[in-house]
Parts: sequence; structure tokens; C-alpha cells
Amino acid sequence: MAVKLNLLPQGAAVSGSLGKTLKSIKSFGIIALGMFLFFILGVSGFLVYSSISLKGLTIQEESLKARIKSQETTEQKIVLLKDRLTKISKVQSTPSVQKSLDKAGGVVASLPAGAVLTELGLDLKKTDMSLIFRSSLDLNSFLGFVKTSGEFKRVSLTAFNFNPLSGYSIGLRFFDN
Amino acid sequence: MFNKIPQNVKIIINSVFPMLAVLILFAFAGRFGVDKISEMRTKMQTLQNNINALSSKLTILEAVSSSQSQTNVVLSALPSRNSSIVVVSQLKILAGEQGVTITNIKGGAEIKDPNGLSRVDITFDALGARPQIMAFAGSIGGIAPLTLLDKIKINESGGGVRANISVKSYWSELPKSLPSITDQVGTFSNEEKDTITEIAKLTQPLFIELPASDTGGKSEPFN
Repeated sequence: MAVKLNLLPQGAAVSGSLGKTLKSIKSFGIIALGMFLFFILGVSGFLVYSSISLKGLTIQEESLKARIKSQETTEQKIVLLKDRLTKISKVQSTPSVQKSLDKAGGVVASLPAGAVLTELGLDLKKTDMSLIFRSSLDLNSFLGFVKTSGEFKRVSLTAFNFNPLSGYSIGLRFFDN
Repeated sequence: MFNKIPQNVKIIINSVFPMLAVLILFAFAGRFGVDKISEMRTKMQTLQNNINALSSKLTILEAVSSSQSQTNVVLSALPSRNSSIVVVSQLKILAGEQGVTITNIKGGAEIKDPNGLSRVDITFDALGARPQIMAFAGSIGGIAPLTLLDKIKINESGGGVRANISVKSYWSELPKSLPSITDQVGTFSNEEKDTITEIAKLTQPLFIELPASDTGGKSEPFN
């Protein structure tokens, strides 16, 4: 039978349960040290791998930058084209009297042979026309055309005069909206 | 000094100290390691994003075909400097083609348009037969630089027709710098391609502005 020997002085010994706990702590310490070393190894490995990858990516990035630099002229053209196109579309969306002129041209073209256009004024808001008709028939036919053409949203009769020598003198104001 | 420490306390210290030391090392080295890993990952992620952006930009640059003629076309449609002289020249040519005489040409000072561009208002009188004047006025929108009809007043008396016409012509400064190397350059949308086709049909002036060229490190590449 094994005999338990304690050669330490009684005051220097630790009690049984505390001794077991201390033994466990010591074992945990060794395990933790192992884990720590493993962790350090892992971190070091990752850092080495990352550094190599980083170097590779940096080289790749520099190479791409150099290739883009060699395409600078193309990039300039694209930037210039984009800039101009954006601004051109702004100009194109600016209102002008071009459409009103086309519409007024249609109205003028419908004038009977005896009618005279004395004045035509176009701005962004309205189109004014002053006309002279020799006969009421011509006037009637013209007004009939204006009524049915539907080119303008609203038409106002701004003047109406009759002179036995020249005929009917009228003023019309056309609105696009 | 250590001899004075009781033996049982020494035993406790001997057992607990390695554990404590490892825990402290873990706390410091762990934090350092995690910080370093996260820093490296961020760097790699940033680099990877840059590479993706650069690759995509390079693909676009290599694929896009922007010819010199397109650049000339857009620059003649919207020049970088006051376009009044070119517009007057274009109007005179157009008037000659339409059998119209233009007189009293007046160009105003530069106006900053609400749309952010610069513009000049030009007024003039056109003399000729009504159909020619109407055709002339109708063709003004077809010249480069882009010119918009602002007002027209036509007076007919004794067979002669005089029209007072006011037009607006635009220009805008060139961009001052290229975007950052990692900024994307867009491809041309169908709408933009249509606009190029449309403005290519404008009557080009006899003299055009020189387009941007390889800058060789100039601070303003377009000037």
C-alpha cells in the first residue's frame, strides 16, 4: 500500500482542495500558453499572407493606373463629350420661337391669294398677326382654317377694322398654351 | 526578500502567475493582433475596390470609341468662347444661301444664362421676300454654334419685307480637370448618341475651335 509522505513543514503546505485548484490553474495556464502560441502563430501567418497579397494588389493597382494613364486622351474626349452633351441638352430644352414660327408658317401659307400679311410678331409667349383681306369671303375662309387647324391652343381677335378701300383689317393673337 | 514569503503563498504564486501572465499577454497581443488583422483587411478591401473600379474604367476606356470628329462636332455646337462672331458669320452665309440680306447686326455683352451657360443675344434686320425670310428664320436653328430664335417681327409694306430677328447663342467653358483616376467614366447612353447624331447635322462653321489634345501634364487639360 502506497504511503503519503509530506516532507514540507506543516505551515508551508496548502490544503487538499486548494492544492487541486492550484493544480488545475497551472494546467489551464499551460493550455492557455499553448493557445496563445497558436494564436500568435495564426496572426503572424495571416499578417505574412496579407502583406504578400497586399503587395500583389498594389502592383496590380499600379499597373491598372499606368494603363489608364495611357488612355488619358480618350478619357479627356469622353469627359469633354459628356460635359458638352449635358450642356447642349440644356440649350436644347431652352424655349425658342422655332415651333411657333413653323406653326405661323402653316397659317401664313393658308392665306388666300388676295390677303396681305402686314405684320407678324413672334415671341416666347404669343404670336401676333395683322392681316388685310379684300373680301369677307377670304376672311371667312381664313378664319375657318384657323378654327379647324388646331395648331394653336388659343386664338384672340385683337383688332377688326373695315375700310371700303382696302377691305377687312384684322389682328390675331395666337397662344401656344 | 522572497525568502520571507511563506512557502504556501509561493506555491499559490507559482501556480497562478503563468496563467495570469498568459492572460495579460493574450489581452495585449490579442488586441494588437486583431487591430493589425482588421487594418490589413481594410487595406486589402480598399485596394480590391480600387482595382475593381480601375478595371471597369479601363474596360470602358478601351471599348469606347470617341472619334475626333465627335469632339469637333460638340465643340462647334457649343464652343468654349464667345460664339457671336461665328454665329454672325453663319447667319450671313445662311442669309446668302436663302437670298436674304441682313443688316444692323448687333451683338450684346455676355449674359450668364439661368441654365449656367454663357450666352450672347444678337439682333439684326433681314430684308427679302416673305417666303425667303420665313425659310431663313426657320433654318437658324440648324446652324452651329447652337442658336435659338428668341423673337421675330416681320413687317410687310409695298411688297418689301423687313424682319427684325433676335437670336440667342450659347457657349460654355471647358471642364477644368479630369476626374480622379478611380472615378468612373460613363459610357454614352442612347440619348447622348442621338444628340451627337443630331448635332452632327448642324451646318458647321467654316472655322472651328481646336479640340482638346494630349496635355503632357498641364493643370487644365482642356485649355
